[in-house]
Amino acid sequence: MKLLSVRNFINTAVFGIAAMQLVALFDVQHQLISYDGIAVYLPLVSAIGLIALWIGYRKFARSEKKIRAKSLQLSQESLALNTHGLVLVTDSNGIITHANENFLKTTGYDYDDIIQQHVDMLYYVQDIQQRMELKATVDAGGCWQGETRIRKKDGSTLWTSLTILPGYDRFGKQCGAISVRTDITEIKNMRVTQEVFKTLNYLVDEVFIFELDTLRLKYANSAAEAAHGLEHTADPDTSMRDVHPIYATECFEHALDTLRSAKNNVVNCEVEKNGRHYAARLQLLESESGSNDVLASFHDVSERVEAEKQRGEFISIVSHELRSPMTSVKGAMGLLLAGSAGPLDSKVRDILEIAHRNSDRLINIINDLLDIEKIAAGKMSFDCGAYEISALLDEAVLANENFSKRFDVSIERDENLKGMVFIDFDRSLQVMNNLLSNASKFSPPGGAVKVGGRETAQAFEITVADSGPGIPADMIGKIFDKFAQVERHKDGPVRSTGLGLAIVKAIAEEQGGTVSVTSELGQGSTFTVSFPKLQASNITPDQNDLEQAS
Amino acid sequence: MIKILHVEDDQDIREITQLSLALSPDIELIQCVTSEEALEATANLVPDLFLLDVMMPGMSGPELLAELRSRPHLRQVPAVFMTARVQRNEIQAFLEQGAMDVIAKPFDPVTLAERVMAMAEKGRSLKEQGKKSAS
Repeated sequence: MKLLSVRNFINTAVFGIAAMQLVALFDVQHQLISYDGIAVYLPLVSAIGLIALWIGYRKFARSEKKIRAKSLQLSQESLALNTHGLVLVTDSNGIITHANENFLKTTGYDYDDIIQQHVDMLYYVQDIQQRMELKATVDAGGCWQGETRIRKKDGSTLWTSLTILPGYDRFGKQCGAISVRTDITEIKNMRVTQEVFKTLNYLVDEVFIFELDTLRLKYANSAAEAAHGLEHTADPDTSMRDVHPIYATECFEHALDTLRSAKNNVVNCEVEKNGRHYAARLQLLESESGSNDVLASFHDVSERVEAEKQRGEFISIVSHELRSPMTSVKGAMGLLLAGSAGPLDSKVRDILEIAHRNSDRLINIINDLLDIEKIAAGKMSFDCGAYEISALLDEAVLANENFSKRFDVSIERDENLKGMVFIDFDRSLQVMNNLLSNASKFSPPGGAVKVGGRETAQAFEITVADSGPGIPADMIGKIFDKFAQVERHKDGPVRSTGLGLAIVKAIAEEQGGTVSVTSELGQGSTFTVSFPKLQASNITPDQNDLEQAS
Repeated sequence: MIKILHVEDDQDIREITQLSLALSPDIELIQCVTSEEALEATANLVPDLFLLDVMMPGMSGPELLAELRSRPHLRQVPAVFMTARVQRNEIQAFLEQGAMDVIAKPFDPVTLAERVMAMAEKGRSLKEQGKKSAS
């Protein structure tokens, strides 16, 4: 500005001198200017000079005024830009060299947090591609406009409308970029909210939003309106209790109390209304206004419930229908083997024993199918109590001795494990029976199944190790899945349903334990199952009698 | 001699049960095919133990037991269900309905007589204890 003023002044002076030189040039007879140093017509020359100076001054003054006005306008524009926009300047390497106050205030960063940092720090990894695209545009001298999101200091997202232009150095060379952003987070969120509500409205599920404290209904989607004849969900007097009696039940209140207690932000439950079953999901919504709203969705699961019921009944009936004839089959063979019909020829006895053994197998398969059905339906019941771990192992080994003898396999047991566990004894015995019978089946004749273990702070970890063919690596991860079968040796003596280990896992986990396996091909497998130790919290006044432990 | 009333609609199971219980010379077995037949048979009969099937056409085992219990002279006769419905909750329900025990089908024919005798004995001693405390 100052430079411009001085230049104008010099211009004015030069103009005045030039005017005087022009007069002298045309004054060939020295009528106006004499060469003896005396100004003949000095007043005239002076007047011309003064006029020239005045014209120059006027031009100078006008120029100064224009510059001042332009300067003021630029200053105001800059102020407006800085007040409204979030300005960021980067150098040619993408290093941030300037951020305006508004940028710092909106994003929460301190000046030192971002200056001399690469601009990528503001972007989400998944948005780097977009940043590269806009950089290419700016590097090519163009201007990029669009919506971008950046990461605020607190980790939240700031959606911005961005205009980014190339920057220039004082030599006019392109250098880095200048970006101006406006915060559109609220608009963006509003758009998202609109989309969410649009989607909710199309859902088949019934969806409500209501105030947690007053149960005042704030929103119901089309499905909910249609199901409950709601015409105007914004009616401030409509309470969830008015929508359906189910929302006034103790069960629903209990779910709301869980939300109120802030123990959980989400509560899932199943409710029955108008003869249909619904999977309800109640979610606490974060509200800036401080009021707690609940988003409740009701998914009709009647068909699933009915299918489960029918499947359960089918399994139950089928198992009953299978068990009844097995009573006669097994009973008849058992009586023959017991000599009810007189002494048996050894060959007849051998054949009868095969049939008798396989009738046992069939019964075990039926039992496994029933158990897996109960597990799938979440209906396997547990009756946990305090028991001595050695009592469990004694009974399991005893129950499997005859079975293992059939495979010429012995069971070796570590007798030192002693201590109290909190388990369902029968189910735990089922776990051990499964592991021991598997280990016997897979061990080579003359081999031994080793039952050991260790005591940890929380549990007894029981190991059942065989010296069988081992489990291939690709089967290890699936071995506890339903119907998982390890490919057997061609001379494998016994087949199985592939349900046993799935049942073992379900029972172990349901009791608060775990089950795992390590295996080496050709060396054998070791299954480890943990049974939780008895804790003080397990003993209620009713369970205080530990006599059952022995 | 222990008198057992067995009610079972399946003829094969009836026969297997008869052969199994015949292993004990101390058991006298009376068998009925239906619940209605059992109700008729017990009009003038007080057995030492009821051995009842659960799922039968017409009146089921538990319904039959309720009917038998409604007759004063049969009120204290112990009952045992023989059933293939041996889920834990089912067994619990049978016990709550007044059964002394539940024998799961398929049962071991060799030990059935022994088990049934033990239950009948238990029933007898409970009955005697009841009489003593009443007097």
